[in-house]
Amino acid sequence: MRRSLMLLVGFALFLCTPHASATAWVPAWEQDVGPGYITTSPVADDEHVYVRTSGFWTGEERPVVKAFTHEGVHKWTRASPTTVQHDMSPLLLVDAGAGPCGQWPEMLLVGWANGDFTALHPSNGTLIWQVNTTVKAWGITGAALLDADHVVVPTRNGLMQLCLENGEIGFEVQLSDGWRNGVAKQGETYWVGSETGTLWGVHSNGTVISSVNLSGSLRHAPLVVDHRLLLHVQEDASSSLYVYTTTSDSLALLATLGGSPAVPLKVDQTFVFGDRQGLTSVRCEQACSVVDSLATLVSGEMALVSEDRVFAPVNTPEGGWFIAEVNESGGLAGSGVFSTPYDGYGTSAPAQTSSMLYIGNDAGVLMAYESKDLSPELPLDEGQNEGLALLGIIGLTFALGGSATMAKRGRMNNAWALLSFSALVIALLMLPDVSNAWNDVLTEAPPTSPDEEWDPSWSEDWLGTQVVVFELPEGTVSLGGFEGHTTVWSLTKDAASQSGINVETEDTSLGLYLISFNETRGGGWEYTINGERGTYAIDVAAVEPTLVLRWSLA
Amino acid sequence: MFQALGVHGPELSPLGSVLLDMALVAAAFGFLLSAPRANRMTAAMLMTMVLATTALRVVMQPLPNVQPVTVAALLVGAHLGAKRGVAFAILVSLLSNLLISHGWWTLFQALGWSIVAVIGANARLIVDGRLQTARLCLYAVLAAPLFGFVSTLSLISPEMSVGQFIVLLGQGLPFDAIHALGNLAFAVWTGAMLHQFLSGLTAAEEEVLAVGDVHGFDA
Repeated sequence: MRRSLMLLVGFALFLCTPHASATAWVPAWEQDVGPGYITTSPVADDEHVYVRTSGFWTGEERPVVKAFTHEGVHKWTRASPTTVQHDMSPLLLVDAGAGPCGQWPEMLLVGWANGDFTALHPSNGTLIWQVNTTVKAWGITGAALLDADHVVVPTRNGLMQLCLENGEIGFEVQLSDGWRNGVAKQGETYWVGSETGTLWGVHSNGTVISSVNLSGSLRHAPLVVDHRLLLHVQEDASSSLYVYTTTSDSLALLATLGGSPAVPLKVDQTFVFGDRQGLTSVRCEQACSVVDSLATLVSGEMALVSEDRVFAPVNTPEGGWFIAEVNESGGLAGSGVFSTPYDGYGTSAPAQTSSMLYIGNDAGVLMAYESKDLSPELPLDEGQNEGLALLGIIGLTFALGGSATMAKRGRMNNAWALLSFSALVIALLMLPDVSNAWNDVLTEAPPTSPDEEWDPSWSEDWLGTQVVVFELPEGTVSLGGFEGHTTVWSLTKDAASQSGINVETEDTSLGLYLISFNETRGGGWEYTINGERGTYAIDVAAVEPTLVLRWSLA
Repeated sequence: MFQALGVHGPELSPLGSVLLDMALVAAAFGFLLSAPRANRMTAAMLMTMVLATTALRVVMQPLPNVQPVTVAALLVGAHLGAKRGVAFAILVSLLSNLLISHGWWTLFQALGWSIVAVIGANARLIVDGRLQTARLCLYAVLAAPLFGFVSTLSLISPEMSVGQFIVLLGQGLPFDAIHALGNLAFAVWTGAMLHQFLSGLTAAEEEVLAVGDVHGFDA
C-alpha cells in the first residue's frame, strides 16, 4: 500500500514537472497537410487560414496550398502538378481594392517553384489570373511585395511588376539568379538580392539603377531604415551584417555572425537577425549598432507573437520555436522554446490572428493554438498567468512531495489526504480543457447547412451571411448580414446590440454562459446552429461564415 | 457542457414549483417520522448537519461537482439508517438548491442522494463502531457516476432519443470524474470527523432511550 502510494505520488510529480514550452497558447486543432513540409508561414484572414507544403517534385505527391476555417475544417486544396523544386515563396493575402491599373477582389497570391505566379480566390481556391515567369532549375522562391495596385515578384533571375487586377506585366527585368530573395521598396526603388552576391536597385518604372557587390548571397528582403538598408549576407560558413547607405552608395560591415541567416524581422524600432549562432538585435539612430545577442540556433522565418515575442524556428531534430522577448531598448531575453507534439526540423514562422496561433514545420502538420490571454474576459496578462502557473506548480510539487514523505514515514492517512486534495486540484484545473476535448469526441458531426433553417421571408441580402434569431417571449427577432464572427458569443453580442436586446452572461470556469435576454431567464436559454443543438459554452462554440444561430428558451 | 446556466430540464410553473417543494418536504418529514424514535438532541444535531452540509455545498458551488453531500449522505445513512439518510438527502437537496438554483432537477438530485444514503445504510461502512475508511472511499467514488446518471434523468425530454441521452451521459463523464475525486477527498479529509460526530449522535440517542427519556422528535 505504502509503495503504491509513493509510486503514485512520483508519477504525479513527473506529470507536474514544468515544461520548457509552458505558454498561454492552448492547442485547438491540427490538420495533417502532408506529405511535404510546411516551410513557410501560414497566413490567415477573417475566414480562413492558408498553408502551403513543399518538398516533392518526383513521384506522385505534389505541393499544395490548402485553406481551413479557423475551426480546422478543410475548405479547399490547390496543387502544383508541375513543380520542380521546394515551394517556399511566402503566401501573400491581398485585400480587395482599386488603383490606377484597375480593381481587384480579395486574393491569395502564390508564387510557385515551376515559375507560375497565381492569384487565387481565397474563398474557394479558384484561379483569378496567372503569370508565367522564368524557370532555371526553379522559378519563384522569394517573397513578393505589395506596392499599391501592383505586386512586385522576385523571379528566378530578375524582378517583375504585375497589376493586381489581371496580372498584366508592368515591367520585367533580368538581374541575376536568386533563391528566397525577397523584395523591399525604398522611395521609388525596389531592392532585391541574389545568389550571386549582388544587391540590385530597380526603379519602379523598371529601370535598373543600382547594383552593389556583396560578400555572399542575400536571401531575404532588405530591411529599410530611412535611407539605409540592413543586409544579412550569407557566406560559406558564416554571415555578415551590412548597413548599406543608399544616398552615398556606401556599404559598411556591422557584424560578422553565424552561418545560415534567417529572414530578419523588425520589432518596433529594433531589427532582429537570426543564424546558427543565435539572435542579434540592432537599432539604428544616426548610426546602426548591435544592441544585444542571444546564443541559440535559428533559421528560416521569424515572426512576432503577442507584440513583443520573437518566435524563431529551431531547425534541428529536437526543433520547436525559440522564444525571445525584445524590450523597448532592443535587449533580448530568451524565454524558452515553444514546443509542439510534432517538434523536429522546421524553418517556418507561426502566424498569429487576434485569438489564434497557426504553426507548422517539416512534419507537415498545421497546428492551431488558441490564446486565452487575448480574451477581454480574462483580466490577467500573460506574465501574471505564467506567474500563477508557476506558483501552482510549486504548490503542487510541495503537496505531492509532502504526501510522499508522509507515506514514507507511515502516516498513511495524512498522505492520502494530501494526495487526494492535490489530485482534485489538478483535475479541476484540467476540467475545462478535458471537457471540451471530450465533447469534441462525442459530438463530432458533419457540417450542417443553414438551408433548412432559412426563412423565405428573410432578405436575400442575408444569404451567405450569419443570421441570428432570438425567440423572445415578446416575439421573434431576426437579424442577418453579419460577417466575420467566429464564436456564438461574438455573433450574439453583435446581434443583440443592434436590436437593443439586453444580454446577461456569467463567466464560469467552464466558459461563458448566457443567463438572460431582456431579463428573461426562464428555464435557461439554448442555442442551435443550423438546427443542431449547441454543446459548448458560448465563447468557445465556433461559428461558420454562413449559418443560422437561433436562441430559444429551454 | 450546457448552453446556459439553468438548463436542467423543463421549467416549472410557480404552482408546480410549490407542489414540488411541498412534496419534498413532506417526503423528508415522512421518512423522519417513520424512522425509529429520536430524541430532541439527535433531531437538532441532524438538522445542524443538514444546515452545515447545505452551507458547504453553497459555498463550494464555484467548484463544479465538488461538494460534501454525497459523502455525508453515505455516512448519515450508515449511522442513522436509510430513512433518516433519505430525509437528510432530500432536505439538503431542497435547501441548497433554493439558494443555488431550484427546479425540476432538485427532484432528481434528491433522488440520487437518497439512493446514495440507502447504499450507505447497507454498505457496512461501520463495523464494530469503527469506520471502514477504505470502503467509504470506494463507495464515495462509485456513488459519483450513480448520482450523475440519476440527476441526468432530469434532462430527458419527449424529443430525446436513446442515442442523444447516451451522448448526454457521456458529456457528463468528466464531471462525474471530478465528483468522484471530490468525494474521495471529502472521505479522506472529513470521513473520520463525521464518523465521530455521528457516532456521538447515535450513542447519545441510545443512552437517552435507555433511561426512558422518550421526549423525542416523534414522541
